[in-house]
Amino acid sequence: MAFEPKILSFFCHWCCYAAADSAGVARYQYPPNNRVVRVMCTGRIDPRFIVEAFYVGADGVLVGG
Amino acid sequence: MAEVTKRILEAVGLNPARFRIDWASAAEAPRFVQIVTDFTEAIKKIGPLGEPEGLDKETLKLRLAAARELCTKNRFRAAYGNLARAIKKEGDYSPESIARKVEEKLVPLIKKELLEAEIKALLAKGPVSIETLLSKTGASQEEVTAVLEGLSKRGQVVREGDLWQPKTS
Repeated sequence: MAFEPKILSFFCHWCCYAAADSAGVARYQYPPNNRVVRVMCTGRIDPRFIVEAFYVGADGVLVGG
Repeated sequence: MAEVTKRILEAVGLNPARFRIDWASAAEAPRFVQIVTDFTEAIKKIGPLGEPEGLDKETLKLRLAAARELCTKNRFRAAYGNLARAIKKEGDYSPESIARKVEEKLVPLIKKELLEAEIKALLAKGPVSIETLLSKTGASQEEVTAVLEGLSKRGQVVREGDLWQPKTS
C-alpha cells in the first residue's frame, strides 16, 4: 500500500480556510490527507503547536495564512 | 516563527521541509488547491515521520518530548519574544537577516535546552551512565558533561560512581 501521509493544517479563518471553502464549492479536487484546524489568525500559531503536532504523529504540518 | 520552528525541527533531527507556511487569500481557491497538492506530494516523497531521518520510534518520542518541553520553557519563550521585538525595532524582515539572527541568538539555546530535557527524561527512568546518555542523545561528551554539571550544581542530579541519577530529597 502506498504511503498516505497524515498532514495537520492550520488555516486562517479569513484566508486559507475561506479558500478551502470556495475550493469545495467550485469542486476542485485535492488530496484528502489534510486534517484542518481553523485558527482566527495565522499570528496565533506558535512553534509549540507544530512540535505538538509532530509529537502526536503528524507526518507534515502546513500553515496557511 | 517559521524560521524558529524549522531550526527546532532540525535540532530534533527531522527534515525541516516537513513544515511549510504559505499564503492564499479567500479568493484564491486554485492557488490553495495547488499549495495543498504540492505539500502532500512533498511529504509523500519524504516519507513517514522519522523513517527517512533514521530515527526509531523511541528516540523520536524522546526528542519530540524534549522539544515540547523546550517550547514551554520560560528561557526559550523570553529569548524568542526578545528576538521578535529586536527584529521589529530594526524593521529588517528579509529572510536572510531573520535566519542569521535566529542562528545567532536562538539555535545555541535550542540545542542546549533540548539536550537538557532529553537527559532529564532519561535520568527520570533511573540511574544511567554517561555512555548511555551519549548513545541515546547523540551529543558529544563535552556537551553532555556540561549539562550534567549544570544540573548537579542546581542540585537536581547526583553522581554515584559511574552512574548519574536524579536527586531525591
